[in-house]
Amino acid sequence: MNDKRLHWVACMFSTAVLLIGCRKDRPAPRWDVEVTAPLVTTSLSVADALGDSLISVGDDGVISVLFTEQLFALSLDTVLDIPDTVFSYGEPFPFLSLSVPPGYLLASDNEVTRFDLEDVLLSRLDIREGIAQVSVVSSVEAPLIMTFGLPGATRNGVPFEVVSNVPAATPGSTASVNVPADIAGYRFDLRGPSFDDVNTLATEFGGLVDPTYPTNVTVTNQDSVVALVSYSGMVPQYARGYFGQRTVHLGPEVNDISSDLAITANWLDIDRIAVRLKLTNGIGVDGQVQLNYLTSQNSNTGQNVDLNHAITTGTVQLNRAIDLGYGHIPSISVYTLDETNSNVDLFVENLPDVIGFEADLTLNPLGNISNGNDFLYYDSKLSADLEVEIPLCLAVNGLQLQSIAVPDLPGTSENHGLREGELMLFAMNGFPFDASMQLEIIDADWNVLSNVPVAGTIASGLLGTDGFVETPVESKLTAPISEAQVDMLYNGGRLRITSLYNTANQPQQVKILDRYRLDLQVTVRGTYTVNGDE
Amino acid sequence: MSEKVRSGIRGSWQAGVLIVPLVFRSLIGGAQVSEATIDTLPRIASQEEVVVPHVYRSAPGHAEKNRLQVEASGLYDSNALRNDLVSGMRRGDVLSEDLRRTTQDELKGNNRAGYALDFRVSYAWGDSLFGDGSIRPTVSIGHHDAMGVRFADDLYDLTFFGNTQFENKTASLGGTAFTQITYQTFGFGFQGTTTNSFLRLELVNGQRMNSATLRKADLFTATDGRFLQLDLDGSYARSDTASSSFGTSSGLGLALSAAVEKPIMLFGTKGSFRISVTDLGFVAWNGNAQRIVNNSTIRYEGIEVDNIFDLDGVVLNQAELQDTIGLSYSTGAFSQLLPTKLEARIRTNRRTSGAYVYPNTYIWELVIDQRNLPGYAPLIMLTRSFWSERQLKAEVSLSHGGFGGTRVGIGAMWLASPSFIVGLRIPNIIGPLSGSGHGAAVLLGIDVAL
Repeated sequence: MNDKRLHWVACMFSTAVLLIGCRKDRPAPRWDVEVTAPLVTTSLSVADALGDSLISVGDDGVISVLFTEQLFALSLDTVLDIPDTVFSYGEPFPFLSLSVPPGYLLASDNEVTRFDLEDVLLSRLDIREGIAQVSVVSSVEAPLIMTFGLPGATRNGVPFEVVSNVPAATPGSTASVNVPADIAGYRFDLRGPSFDDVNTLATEFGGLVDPTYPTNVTVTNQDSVVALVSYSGMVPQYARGYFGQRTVHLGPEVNDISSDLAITANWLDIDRIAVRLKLTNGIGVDGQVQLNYLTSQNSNTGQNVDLNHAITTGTVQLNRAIDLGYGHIPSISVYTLDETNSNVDLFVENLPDVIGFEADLTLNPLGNISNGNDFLYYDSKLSADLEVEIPLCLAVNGLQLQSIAVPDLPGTSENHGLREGELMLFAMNGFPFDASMQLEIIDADWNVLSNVPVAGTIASGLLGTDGFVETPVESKLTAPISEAQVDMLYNGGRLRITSLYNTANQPQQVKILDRYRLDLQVTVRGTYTVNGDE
Repeated sequence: MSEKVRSGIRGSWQAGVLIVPLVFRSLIGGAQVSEATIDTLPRIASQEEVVVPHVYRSAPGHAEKNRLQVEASGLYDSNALRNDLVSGMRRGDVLSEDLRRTTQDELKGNNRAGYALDFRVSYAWGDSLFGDGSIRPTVSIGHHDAMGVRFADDLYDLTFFGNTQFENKTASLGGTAFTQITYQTFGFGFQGTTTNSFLRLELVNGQRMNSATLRKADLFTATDGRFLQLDLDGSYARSDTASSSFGTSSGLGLALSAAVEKPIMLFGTKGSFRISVTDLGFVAWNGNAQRIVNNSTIRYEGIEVDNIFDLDGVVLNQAELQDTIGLSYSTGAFSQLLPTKLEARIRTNRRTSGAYVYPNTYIWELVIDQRNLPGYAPLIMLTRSFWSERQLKAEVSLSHGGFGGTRVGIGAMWLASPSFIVGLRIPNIIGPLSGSGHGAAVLLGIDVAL
């Protein structure tokens, strides 16, 4: 073997060795380790469970649950609806034939426009949204300069005006131009030119022969310059005037409350319940409500209970809101319903999942007593809300709350690091009730695949002589999860967590204070496979 | 024949030689280890290591016209991890508890492991530089991959058995350090025309890096896992994770490599003394590099959720966990020293019939080196060579240090022709034979003169 060949053998050998050494497709080694670690911590209060907006706290710290259900709310267009309207200006020329020079004012039409708002008589209308479309049709065989103005409509003190060039018509045909204009932000003075009218707007329309046109143009009584002005999509920001006398029929309507009041009332002390009907009038008109009926409906039992109270047997007067010039103060009327003035106890004890009602609302029942000073703002609203306030005084036995968690576990169903172990739940309970837990693994159709036995219960906090919890109590619950159960969770299983609450050890109903908390921590002691796809 | 060979070999030294020390990397797991990150630091700490003490190197030659030198070397060892464990990890086995226990039983507290893989091609040409006949220009390119780790017993226990055994106890992980770095060098400089002395400035391309230092890390596991508390004084850094494959760049740097060799008389015998430094420099990692520096006490009681009944959104991934315990990465450029190697070597030359026929064919050799890598202790190696008349050499070596402990090695060399030398060295004769050994290495060297 000569030197040259040896050299190449050496080089090839070294390359092969390096390539083999750089091979990177080996699998990662795996081994099991025993891991003990905290997983999650949380702290549960009544506000966490029910939401801050649902609770109120009394002077004694006792929490009440407050439910509000809106029976009805009148929107703006119920009181004031401005229809789309088209007005026409201009007409055929009155002369047989006339030769006019450039710059000649050929058409001029200053008049007043009256909006048809039925029995609504407006003196002022501020536009929030709306379009004015000015369309001009001309048969004059010369270009024109068209102007259309609304002297009574101003925005920041500047009157509304549209100026546009109209092309020359050809013999036997007409020329036209369309000019859309945004009228949002304009204030319409609807008192007309003499300021003593309603729903009226002065208009100015003119057509001038283009001064740059080189020759005279001949017009006859067969020619015309006509403008069509349409107002569409007008939404008032503010309106003032007299809104008319009329009656609006509300309902029959049902409100589904099954998601809150019905469930909660099942385990609360409904004997101490307070119900209020709150009527809010944000419009500058007087009103009168005739509540024909207000019914508690329980769909499960089929039982209906009509509310008996003065508000359902007579009429309720609504005072008008106060106009501040830049906004308004609504008029609020609250009617408290209790056992002394109504059958509200029966109404609530029916455990309604639906509230039904029917009512008639009359606007300006006494006519134009404001002398044309009714008003409304864009956000004005006339509404009725039913408020139910229930003190949290518990006497429950086996109250069950359930939730389903879909664990977002790391790894795949084929390979995963988590193998088996024991979940440990540590609870520092400051509530005056016991709680136990059930864990089940279920499939997508809620079929139970396996039960995870939970040992131990969450003990109640210790009550003092005043009936309130003095000392939170710590408890430990354990739940062993087998390898097969872990595999179920990785294969689409869900964890159904059921908690059962019990105040049976307490001599009477216990009050819930806003300071009560339940601190929870979940830890795990289990087997974890390193490189098991995490 | 004998005379012809001798004169030919002398000529090859004078003309320069091509040195190709080869390492059986297939017997070691270095490549897999080099992919490791801090996330798998415990796995790295358990990789099998093989010792390759040093490369075969030519003696100073006479100024040849052109000289191409190819060097490949590997160093791979551990004083703590048994070979059967490391082999299992390298193969991707499921590691049994018994297997992990056997290594655990042998831990001594000063646990070290690591590897260093280097490949370099150098080219020198001409017979002078700037009119100076004692030096000439040289260029080189090289690829380097090195890892070193030192770790506490508790880190091994925690890694391979979990923290349950530490319930109501503290695992002391302090003193642990880890560095893995892969980089390429592009150098130019000059070397002696009649000696192996050289000076070379290297442009460094940083490919990837992971580095961790735990000056103090006491992990307390509360009973039932109620909380984990880590008293930490440490840091972690890694290069741009978006570009870490071969051919990409995550940083640039500069390095200096140099060697000075001088003839000496030792106990009345001619020999040589050589001192060298390799890759003395740094890499400036780019702005996408990430670091965590923490000197605090971290207490972890679990992910805090708003609603225990709504766990759907709770994802226990690494990023969220890091954020929860305050160990999020900060991104930015920073510099890092390279795994510099310092080496000193003394040799006594072979004497034949009163003349030093083979200047590089030594009888005794003592080498001391040190690398800038965690877990690497100064390596001392003493080698005794035995020569036959047919130009065969057998050698026995005794070494201590590096990533391993005390090692006995054997080797052989055959001077086949004036321009071809092949050598085989097994620096650790126990490791390759037994799964209970520590480290294993085989080194093959081939010298071919152009």
